Amino acid sequence: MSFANPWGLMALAALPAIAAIHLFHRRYPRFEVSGLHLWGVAQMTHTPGRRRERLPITATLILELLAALVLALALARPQADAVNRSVHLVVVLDGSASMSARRLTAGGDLKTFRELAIDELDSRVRELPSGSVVTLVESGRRPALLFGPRGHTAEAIGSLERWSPQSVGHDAEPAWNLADQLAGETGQLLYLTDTLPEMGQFNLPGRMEVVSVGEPQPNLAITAARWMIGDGGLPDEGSTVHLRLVNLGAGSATATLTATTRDGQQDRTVLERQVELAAGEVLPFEAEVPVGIGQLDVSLASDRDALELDSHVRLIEPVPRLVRVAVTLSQESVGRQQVGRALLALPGWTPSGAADADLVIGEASAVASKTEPQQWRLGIGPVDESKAARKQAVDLSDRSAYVLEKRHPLLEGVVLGGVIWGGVQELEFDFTPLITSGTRSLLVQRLDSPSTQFVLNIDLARSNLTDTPDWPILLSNLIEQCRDSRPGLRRVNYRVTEDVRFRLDEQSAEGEELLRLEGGDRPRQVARGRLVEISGLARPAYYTVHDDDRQVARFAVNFQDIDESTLVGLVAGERPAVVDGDSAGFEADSPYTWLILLAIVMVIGLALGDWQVLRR
Amino acid sequence: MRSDADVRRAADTYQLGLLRVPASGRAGDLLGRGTGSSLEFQEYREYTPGDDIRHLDWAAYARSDTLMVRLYREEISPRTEILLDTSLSMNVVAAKSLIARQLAGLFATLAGGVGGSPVVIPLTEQRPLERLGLDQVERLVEWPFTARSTLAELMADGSVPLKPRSIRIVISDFLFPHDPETLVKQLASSASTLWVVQVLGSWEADPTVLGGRRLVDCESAAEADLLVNRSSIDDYIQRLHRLQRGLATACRRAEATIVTVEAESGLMQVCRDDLCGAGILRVA
Repeated sequence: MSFANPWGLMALAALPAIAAIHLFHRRYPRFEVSGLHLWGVAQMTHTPGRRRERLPITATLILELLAALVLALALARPQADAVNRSVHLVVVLDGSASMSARRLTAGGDLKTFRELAIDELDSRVRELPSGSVVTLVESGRRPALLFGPRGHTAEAIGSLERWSPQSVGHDAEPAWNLADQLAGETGQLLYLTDTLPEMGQFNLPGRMEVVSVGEPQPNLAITAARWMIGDGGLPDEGSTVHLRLVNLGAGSATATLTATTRDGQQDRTVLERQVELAAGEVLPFEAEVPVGIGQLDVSLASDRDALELDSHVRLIEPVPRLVRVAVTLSQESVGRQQVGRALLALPGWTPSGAADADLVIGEASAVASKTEPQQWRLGIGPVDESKAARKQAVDLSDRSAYVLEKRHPLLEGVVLGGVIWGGVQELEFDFTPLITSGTRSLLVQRLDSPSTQFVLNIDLARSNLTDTPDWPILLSNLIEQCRDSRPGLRRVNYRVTEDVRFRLDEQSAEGEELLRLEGGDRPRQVARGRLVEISGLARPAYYTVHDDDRQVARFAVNFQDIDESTLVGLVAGERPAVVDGDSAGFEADSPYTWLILLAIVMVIGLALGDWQVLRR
Repeated sequence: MRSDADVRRAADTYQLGLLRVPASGRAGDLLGRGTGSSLEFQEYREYTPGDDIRHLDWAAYARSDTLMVRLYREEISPRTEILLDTSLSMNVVAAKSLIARQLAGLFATLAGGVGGSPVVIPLTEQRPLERLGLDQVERLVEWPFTARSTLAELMADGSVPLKPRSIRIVISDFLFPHDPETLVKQLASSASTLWVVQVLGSWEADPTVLGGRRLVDCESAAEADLLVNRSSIDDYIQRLHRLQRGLATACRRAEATIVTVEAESGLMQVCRDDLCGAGILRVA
């Protein structure tokens, strides 16, 4: 027996108070009689002076004491032992994709580890005393509350009907910490997973019991998938699907690789191959697919495949995003030849007239006159083509120290080792330096233009920059940056948890309503802006982004995590809690509310009885 | 108390009831137990020297040649002892002490009227107990009812000086712890007549519901909190009746007469209904 609200026992202080009132307070008027012995009551003999009296045991005293006692007990809310054992069970369910694997090694029992975990949870919940409550937390990159907190046990299992663990490898510690907080001081912690975490490696709460339902399983997985349109990104060059097939089991496996696409309302098989995969083999697979089919659903089927999730990828046919490049350098200039030679080695661009170009590469002296905001420009020196200026220009030796703004994407991979930078002039406009040497700015971004303009402060006739690997890298970065600045998705196929970024055109970017993302578990809203960022996509699916009724982007997200696909390391077992939690449990309110009501009725009854006794 | 209007009126209306056993005492209106000088012939016996020659029956001597002496019932004036309980309980209501005083005065007056020598003995803490003659009965008007000793205690320790062969009248409420058999036996001891008058207040005889009360015994000062409700009253009535039955039984065994009177009824009603009914008084 214990009390949910021990402070309620303070009301027991009313008992001596009532007794004291009956003892010291002469509540009855004095009445002289001749023969007190005839009234058959206990007598109190009084003589002058203060002396102790015997407490008169009267019916009203008894009733009042009983009422106070019942009231005190009602406030203290006594609990039977069964009630005391009511517990708050907080369960962390491993949300990793491996939990969705089937037990191929268990003969006819093809239950998934998810189902085994639910069975284990069901048995645990059934053993809980009445009045217990359950909280279910799913681990993942972000812990999620699946049920509760403090939900009714009868509803706990049902809440997992739609639970589908698909998370990539993640740290379960945030989920453990959340569970620890939810459990408080009296709750019980249970971690249901498919492999036992190594002690000491993780900050597993000491009072958390771990139950692993996993077993080593064979598995085939597609760990990488890419759909490419030609070598140069042009549709007429055909399209190719590149896959990486991996046998993660201990034995060889035969699998059927199938690629289908939507053809109206029906699926059309585009590709079907039998592949043999030895144990641990990584098989790069490449196949040409027709251009313009839109999407591909690729699946790898085998009886040695325990996890279906990683054997299926969705691919969206990439849309070529060619950058229109115009080179306006004079035909006689050294720079034109060097620029043209480098561009020929780069994919993803197409020549264009200067008026329609996304990127214009021309003389630095002419750059300032251009004011098209969307157009990128690269001006190549000399900035001042006058003879005097050329004469005053400085040539830097190959031992010069170049300082690069490494954080700028334009300079990614650029090292400038052994570069002789010639024809450096003083710049007369506002700029942000990207490459400097001493006080001289070699590559700058102009600040006096609404468009993005870079100026290469160089005289290519006096420099060996175009002969170094930095030259095509610099131009490639420039084209890629220019491509990224154009509206649309840079990629259309992603892995789960990868951030998806794309730019909206000006019209869409200026809207006020939020964009709507559809696909996965449920639609969600996305902030609108020139650059839209979507992160935390954990469900493999086709996704579309809508601006009202207009689709502005479509991409696919696939599960590709070789660590999570490796099921041979799964281990079944249990690890008891290292630290015993407080077993005092807690009080469940609802089942015993009637006791409180009964106590209140008793108090009222006793009060009425007391009133009746005094009234007679 | 002889000046009390009710006492005078009652004394004019009633006289003491007939004694069943001749009592001893001086010559008077009442018949004694032995032969005496009254006019009521009792029997003959032979003359013995010393007999009053006035009582020789000469005719009988002529007829039988034997000196015969007429014997007459002795006429005596009765010795009347009136024991008046003056304890605090007799003053719990004013009417109770008043009727007790009146009864004592009435009995003394009636006894004195027939040549007896009434003595009123108020039962007090004083030792020896004071004895009030007929000429002192008037003192009862102011007599304080403050004694704490009960009649049973006084009788037990022999504090009450009782004369043998007296008419003994006891006026008390008998609402003190006692053994009726023992008490009555002591009171009736050597008495020619014992009349017991129990005086109760009307609430004592028939209590009404009062609710919660701290009952205080006026003599022992003992207290008790009690709900004076129907239930407790019923219990009280049962105990009172048991006490009265005990007194009645004891009196019957001692050939005594007991009567219970209610103080609030007034002296005349008490005399008419209760005392006459019990034979203690009769209409003159």
